[in-house]
Amino acid sequence: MQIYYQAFGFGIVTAALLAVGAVGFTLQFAVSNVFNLAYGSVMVVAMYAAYVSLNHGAGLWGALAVGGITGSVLSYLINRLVYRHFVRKQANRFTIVLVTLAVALMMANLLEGIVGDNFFSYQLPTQIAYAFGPFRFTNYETIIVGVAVVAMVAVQALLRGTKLGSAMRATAENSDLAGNCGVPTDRMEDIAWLISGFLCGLAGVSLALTIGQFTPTTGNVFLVTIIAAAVVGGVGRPVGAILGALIVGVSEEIVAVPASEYQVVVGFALLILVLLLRPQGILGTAQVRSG
Amino acid sequence: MTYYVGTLLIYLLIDGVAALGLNLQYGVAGILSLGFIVFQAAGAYVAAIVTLGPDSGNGGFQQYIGGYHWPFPLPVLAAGLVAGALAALVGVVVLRKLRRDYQAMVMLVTAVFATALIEGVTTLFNGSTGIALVPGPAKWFNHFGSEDFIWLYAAWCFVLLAAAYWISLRVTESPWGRSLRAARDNEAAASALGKDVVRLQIIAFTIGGVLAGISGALLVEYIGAWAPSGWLYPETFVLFTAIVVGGTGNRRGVILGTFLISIAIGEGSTYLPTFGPSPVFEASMQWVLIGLITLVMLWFRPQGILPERPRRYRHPSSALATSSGDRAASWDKGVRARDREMNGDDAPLMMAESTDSSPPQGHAPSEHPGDLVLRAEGLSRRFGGVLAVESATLEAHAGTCVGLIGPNGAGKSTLLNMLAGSERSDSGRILVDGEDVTGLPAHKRARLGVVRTFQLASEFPKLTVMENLLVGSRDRDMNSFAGCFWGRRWRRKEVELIDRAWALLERVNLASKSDQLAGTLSGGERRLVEIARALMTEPKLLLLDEPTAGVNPGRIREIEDHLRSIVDAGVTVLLVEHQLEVVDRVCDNVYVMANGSVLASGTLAELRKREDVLSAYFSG
Repeated sequence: MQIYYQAFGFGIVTAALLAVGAVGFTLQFAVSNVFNLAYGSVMVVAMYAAYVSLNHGAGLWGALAVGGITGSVLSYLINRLVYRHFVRKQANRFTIVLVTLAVALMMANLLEGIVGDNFFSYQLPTQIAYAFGPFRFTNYETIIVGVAVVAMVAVQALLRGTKLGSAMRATAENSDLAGNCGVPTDRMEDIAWLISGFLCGLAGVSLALTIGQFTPTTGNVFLVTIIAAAVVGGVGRPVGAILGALIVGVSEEIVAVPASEYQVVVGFALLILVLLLRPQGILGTAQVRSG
Repeated sequence: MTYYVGTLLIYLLIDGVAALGLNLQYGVAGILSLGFIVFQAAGAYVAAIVTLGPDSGNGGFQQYIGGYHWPFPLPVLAAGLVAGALAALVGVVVLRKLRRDYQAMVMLVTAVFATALIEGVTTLFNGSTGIALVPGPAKWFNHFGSEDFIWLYAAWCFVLLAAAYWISLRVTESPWGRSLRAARDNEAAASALGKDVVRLQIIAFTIGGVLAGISGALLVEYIGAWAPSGWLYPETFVLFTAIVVGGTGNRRGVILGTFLISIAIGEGSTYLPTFGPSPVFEASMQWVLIGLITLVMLWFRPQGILPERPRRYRHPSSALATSSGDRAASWDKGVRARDREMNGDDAPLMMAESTDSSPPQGHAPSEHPGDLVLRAEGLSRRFGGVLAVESATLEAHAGTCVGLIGPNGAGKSTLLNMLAGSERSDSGRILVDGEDVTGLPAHKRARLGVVRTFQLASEFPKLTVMENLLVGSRDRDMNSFAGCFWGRRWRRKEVELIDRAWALLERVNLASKSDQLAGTLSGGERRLVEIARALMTEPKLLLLDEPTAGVNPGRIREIEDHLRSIVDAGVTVLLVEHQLEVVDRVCDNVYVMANGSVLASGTLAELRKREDVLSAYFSG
């Protein structure tokens, strides 16, 4: 039984960084109607930026900040320089998806071309483990969970409790209408990409801390797990993304105890299950094909 | 050198098979199949394990299921079948319920997870190491020298590429394929014409999967090995780039694109010297280049080097020689419009149908005018907290035009959607000719003769005007998949249909534009195409959602005349309309809706006298 408690503990950590990633991903979709497949690549670039900063003496907090800011700036630039133009030019969803995939491949491979395909890992002081009841967390895991909780609360507070947040939600709901009501939708979109990019970077650095070593392709599998979490919860819904992350993260670690080879496909199985039973996701509203 | 060129040729031919399969899924059916490579991988693995003997052979150095020693060419067939079955399965799960960009997402996720699964569960296909030492058909050609074998294998690949091309040609250019392309252009409009869009797409997706599987089998039988690193999800992207560069939906373009991308980038760069900051720099830059090419093409020439070409239809000579002369005289539109007001009626748009000797599938207009064609009882629909339609009841008698008017947001369009089946109703029931159709989806109602048009222009933009009309056919043979390969069944009917479509186009004055892509027409012309297309289905009940929206005011009168002639020909029409003058001139009975419920009904003159109607209209 102890081992399942332990797995549940791991699940919480996985869920925490999944939640950060999934909320950022879903926010971009909500505001710009773009499934940003380059999200995983941005995450990896942030991991490497944090790596460089650690080697230059930044501490763990500094590395997290550098990762977040890198993700933030990069996401903003991608949207500003590429996506927005394609979205404006033609509303064809296929084109946009292919565009994001092109950007994803270009960015990940540019990085790989520079740093190579070797494994990297952060040089940090040894971990210290704490016991919380039946669970055990290391100091880094505690930080990851803590940062995730703070980030989630902050995003919710921003979206629900501030004028900026309601303007952003209005933009997500109906950009044209919000624009007509005087909401500066372009700026709202920019801010949303800056915030979601920051979350993306945070998730990247947290992931690198958790898994220990990473390569430029680490983002791929993690991105699809993020997508699974976001879809399970209901795409475009930040709260849904958190819920989806909890479900996917915890189930992954629990399943890993008896059958570790199936761990990676837990997210996929959940995704298919949800799609069959409730295509709009647990908290989603109608995104189902009509007709 | 022979080896190099031969290998290059073989890869090109195999990539061509795969690209044709993907084009069928993406270019023709409009499914963004980001997990395509999985079907190729499935084919390769299946071919590998049925060709190999049991995995205890060779000292048992690799683990896999199967091992049957099947002789050539059975492994290729098995690969095609299994990959097709897998595609059908994915299609049933993904295509049935999800919005299209979700579909793409789920398929990408599937591809990534499939790699992870095969790597993780090593007993299936030997994990990340992959399966090696797969004997190709070389075994049977041992008495040839190895160079001869390469050319022989290339010839075999060429045969399969030709077969794939032929299949793709028949599927795409048949009436069935036309419906598929129509559904790609506008799903809702296609189902409103009676097309079972999901079924069409699943079949096309499956055929694409079969081609992918065959390409995988060809690859593994040539290379002799197959591992997860060879089918990572970006490989699908290379095929997409080839299609986007060559021309989405154009078979020759797809082959050209495959040639350009696979050869120029994939192989050409092997001649480049190694340079850059890391050993993988070169390989990485290839990917960057592929991404860049895709972006540049999507921005500057999204239709590709060889764009999808409009299909031209030869105008049936009979119609040209005989009828078009007299028609030109009696169908002069300007004269006709004025005539109608004076004589009551002539020139019905439906005349060709009623004089047509053989409309076996069609719904002849009701014989007894006055029969109840449509009855809707207590229909309600709630969106979140808003009651969009509240227990609406209405009736339409055969051969009449029923108007549905009301202020913006009254629920008219929602009600029409419910009647057409594109929106479900929370309560109430809908009877068509006394038959309960409440539970039927849109395409099944269309097959019963309930056909709608849309408020927003809903032509199939990448189909010609003529094709737009031909999609309206509800003939069984014209809509069967088997018909793709059994041309005789539909060719004769196609001639009749073209004749009928031509007559309709002449009457709406669009005959001269029959070969133009419908997306290039003006707003009013698109409306007319849409109405003519609906008439091609020989509807019993026509549901028109603001047919004058987006039409140049000068042409509204023209549409009005057509509407009246449709009604006069015996078709029952339900008309949602904002312009009361149009309703006044065309409709017999009018329903007024406000705040989701039906407020009143009667002639427009009667309604104008009612207080409640006026207040709803002007204050609501």
